[in-house]
Amino acid sequence: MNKKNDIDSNQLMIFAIASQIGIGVTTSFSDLVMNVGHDGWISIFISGVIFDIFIIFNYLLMNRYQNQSIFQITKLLFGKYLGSVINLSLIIYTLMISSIELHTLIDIIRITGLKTTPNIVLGILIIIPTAYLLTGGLKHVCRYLNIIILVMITALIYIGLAHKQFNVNFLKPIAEANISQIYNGVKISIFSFLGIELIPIIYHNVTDKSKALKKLLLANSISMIYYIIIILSCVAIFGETFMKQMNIPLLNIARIHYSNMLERVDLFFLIMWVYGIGCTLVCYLYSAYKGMINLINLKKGHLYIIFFTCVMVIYMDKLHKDYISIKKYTDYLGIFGLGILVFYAVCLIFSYINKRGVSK
Amino acid sequence: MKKLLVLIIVIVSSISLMGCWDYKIYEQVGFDLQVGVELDEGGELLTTRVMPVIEKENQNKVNIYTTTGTLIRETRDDARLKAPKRAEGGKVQQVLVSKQLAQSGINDIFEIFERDAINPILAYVVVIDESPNKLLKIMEKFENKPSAPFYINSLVKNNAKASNIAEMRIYNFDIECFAPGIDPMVPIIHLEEDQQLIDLEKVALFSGDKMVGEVTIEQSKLLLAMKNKFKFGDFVFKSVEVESKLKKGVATSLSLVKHNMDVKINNYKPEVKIKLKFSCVFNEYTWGSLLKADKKKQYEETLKKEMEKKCLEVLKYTQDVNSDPLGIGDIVRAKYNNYWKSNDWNKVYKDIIFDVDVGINIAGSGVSK
Repeated sequence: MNKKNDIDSNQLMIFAIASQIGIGVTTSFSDLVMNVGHDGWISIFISGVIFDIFIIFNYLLMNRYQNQSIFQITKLLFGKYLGSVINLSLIIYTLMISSIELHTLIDIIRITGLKTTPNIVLGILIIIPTAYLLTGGLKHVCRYLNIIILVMITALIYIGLAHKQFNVNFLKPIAEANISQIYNGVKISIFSFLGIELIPIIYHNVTDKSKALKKLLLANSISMIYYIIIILSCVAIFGETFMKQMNIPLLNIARIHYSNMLERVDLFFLIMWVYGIGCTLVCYLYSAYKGMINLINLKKGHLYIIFFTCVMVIYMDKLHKDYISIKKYTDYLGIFGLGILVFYAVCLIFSYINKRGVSK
Repeated sequence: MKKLLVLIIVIVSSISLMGCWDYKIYEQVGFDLQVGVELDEGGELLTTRVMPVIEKENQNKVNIYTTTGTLIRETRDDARLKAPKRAEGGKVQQVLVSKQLAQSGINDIFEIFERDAINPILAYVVVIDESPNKLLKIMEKFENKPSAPFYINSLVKNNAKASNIAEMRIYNFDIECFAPGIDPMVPIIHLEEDQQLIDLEKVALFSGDKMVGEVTIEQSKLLLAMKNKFKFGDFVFKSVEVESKLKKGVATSLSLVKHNMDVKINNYKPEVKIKLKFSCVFNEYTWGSLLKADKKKQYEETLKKEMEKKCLEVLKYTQDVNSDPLGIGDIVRAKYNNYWKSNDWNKVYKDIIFDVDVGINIAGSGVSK
């Protein structure tokens, strides 16, 4: 096993959080509030529990193939050709999500500051350090991902500083939404937890697998609690009617802060949040890169693959012409992402029929 | 070799890539510090932008640009065709709205501030009882006074801090405007041209985004106290009799130490009980009137009665104009949701039975007895 890709269960946990949170917060909480009102947190809680079940399936599957990544498992289960087709679709999925992450990052930078800088310039400037990070291997990627903790703490500090604006009445009456509304909310909020589907790609690199399940469930719980804190805070500050008008409510929390010493306090938050989304980008880009190496069974020349992956992502970014197409792609990819998790569960069941490669 | 290459890339990119597509040279940008909005005779938006003159010789001078259009952004673009520097809205300190426009609804004006992240949502909202354009042009000629943006900003900020008025920034206005069952309170300023002064004379009450009435600064303080947004402020009580030929009443400093608002539905009608407890210090009184125990109690009772009467008066006025600045509707929505859903709050609000119980503890009388 390559030492520079070895990670422990804590790093696996950070990888899971980073892959969830960055994209999760860009998933529109206002859409959730539009459907469920101030009870959106209930839908988030249910989605979190559903993902706990997916994590358990993931874990059981990966534990049957101790030192194999999902790219190898698919080939063992479904044969070389069908396995390769499945792997290719996984790679396209991770590339597409990477391109959406990149586009979201660029969009936020453009909305809040650099309005006239061309997308391609921002895209290249974002992708260069990301690509450099990938050359260091999974261990370096996970070390970088620790920054997500700092990003999350920053957001919590901003929320804490806004506590005087909280109006608890905005959160009441609790559980006003009916089951159909909460179900619709689950359909929206469940996409916020995506990122877990990447775990089988890196799981074989974990050195202390006995702690992995506990850490993955903990990661999912942290993400869930974090989302709940954000949505409760946003509703308590802005009220559900106003929140329905917003694209990224968390950014508006940053905008309501003022300081006698600093102008545009929101920009400090924004700088941090760019790193947050960058973390998710790194997770998906790393997965795409690993998938491609596996697909073409490459032993050397990994730098070319990194370069190719980054070019693909920048090229794919051009597919997203406007926010409507982004929304459309995000919806399709969200469904595809959930499909991948269901597919892992199917793989688990199938692994009891086709036992090739199963660890004893 | 690889490390050297990385080092070269880092150094070259940090020197050459400085966000050059979007850099703005300070000297070439004209910052809008104030935006005045009113309706012109044709019903279009007439905006007045105040930009500081950034020159050593003209430190207190401002440039004023008046433009019309059907959109705020349209008027800004028009201002860019007139101003020597490129107008940017990132430093707007106040949005001044004419009373006439406020009465017809102003929430749409603030949409652009929320939508464009560069525009600050921290700017104060202020109603002007005449034309903002006229006020700003007259203020430009004030001598020995800070320029209009700094004058009005300090005036509003200091009075919000002193609990005289609600802190009403754009986002506060939007929150209270969108939330069902709460209405905003916005300060009104008035120009005293002869004295070259701006007078913060009243506070506008809104119903949704429309101005429906106005209260005095004292009534504003009482409303803030009943809303639990009052920290520490000065009150004058005229009902206290003092042994003086010159003076009438007492001046006090009050701090709100306890607030309780209980909303109940009785016989299908909301009943609101508000309990306020103040700690009071006498600031101005008269010589030799010692605060003995029996007198203290008598004064406390007098102050309590005057305050309760004033509170009920202002609440009655809010019912008359149908403005709910205390957010009672929001509490009813949260607590009695079925009642809220089955009734039109605008009609119900007029029938609320208010009960205000004020407790005042005279805690001190300054350095004198």
